[in-house]
Amino acid sequence: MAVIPVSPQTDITALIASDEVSEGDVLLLENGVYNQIVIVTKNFLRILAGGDGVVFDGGNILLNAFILEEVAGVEINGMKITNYQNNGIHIDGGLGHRIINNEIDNVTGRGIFAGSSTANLIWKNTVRRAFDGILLRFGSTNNRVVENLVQFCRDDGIESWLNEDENNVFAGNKASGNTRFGMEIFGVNNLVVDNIVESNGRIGLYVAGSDVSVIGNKIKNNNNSGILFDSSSFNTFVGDNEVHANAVFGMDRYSNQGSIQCNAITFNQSIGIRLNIDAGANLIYNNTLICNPPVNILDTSEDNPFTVPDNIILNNIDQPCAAS
Amino acid sequence: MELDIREKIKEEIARQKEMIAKSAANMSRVPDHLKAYQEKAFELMQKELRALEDLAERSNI
Repeated sequence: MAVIPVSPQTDITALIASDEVSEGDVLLLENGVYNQIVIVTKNFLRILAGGDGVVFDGGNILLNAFILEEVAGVEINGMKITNYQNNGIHIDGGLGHRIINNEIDNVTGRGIFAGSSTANLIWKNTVRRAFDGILLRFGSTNNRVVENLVQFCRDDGIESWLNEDENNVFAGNKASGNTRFGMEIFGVNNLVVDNIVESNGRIGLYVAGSDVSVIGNKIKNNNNSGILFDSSSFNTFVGDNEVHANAVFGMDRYSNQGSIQCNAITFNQSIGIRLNIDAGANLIYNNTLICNPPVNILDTSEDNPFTVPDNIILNNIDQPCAAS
Repeated sequence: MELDIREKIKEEIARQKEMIAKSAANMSRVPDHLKAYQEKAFELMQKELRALEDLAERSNI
């Protein structure tokens, strides 16, 4: 294992492909502007910024700053990435990468994209002004998306794209000011915990995967509902979230067999929890609902002419708005 | 409102095609020493489009 110094004049892709670089080596990048696409073709390389001024600038022509295709265990740490025409960091297949502490701004595609990739750690990155901030797609599983800041994206902040993007964890992230959804979770058995999702253009958190757990998040001031559970989000667990001051519903539930417990749902502009006409067999338990006019909980499944299993609404604190 | 997965895939295919067309048009502006790398990135965009189209076919879109 060696530490190999790199300057902006180095063709990093060619260097990696050469015999000068072996698995386990560290490429230590000096400060400067790198007008490059880096294609990583070896496993277990650590590509580290040697200062806080390592800038990858695609000049609004180049497509990706970093491409990791069918490799494993690559770390990319501390880069500033801007002006690329597709994704800032593009992961295709492979596994076990560590994408850490990068700042990605103004890319046409996604800040960080993982397709058919597993067991990656995406930690403490900042993504601004991408299309989607962080996107897991094509069966990306068992990834850990932790403590990232994703803002001002033109579509969604953080997304697991379809049901096949399963068993991922999204923890401690902040998604704010994105045009559409703060977080969009289609993956089955994803864990969404301790995130802050605020001031997004539409829904704060959209959940479509089954068996998803949504715990300890702060979902506030979004321009539509705080959380929407669509009809495929069977058996979600939703606990200890603060859902506050969203422009429509606090929680809008279309699916069955959910457990909604110990949440604080306050001052949303319409209903606190709406159970739609096909939403049955949900448990709404021990929540605190304050001033979500006109009613804190509305169960419209009772109007369904066909049989829908009863929802159980039990032991909630249900306070109307204070009289002015 | 709930999202329609078919619409979601269709929209993504349209967007990917648009990005590929734009990138193809920009290829002449890429410096010679970076052309091979840009072409690799371009291939990955096309690969993503094929995957989306396969998904659409499997979903009967």
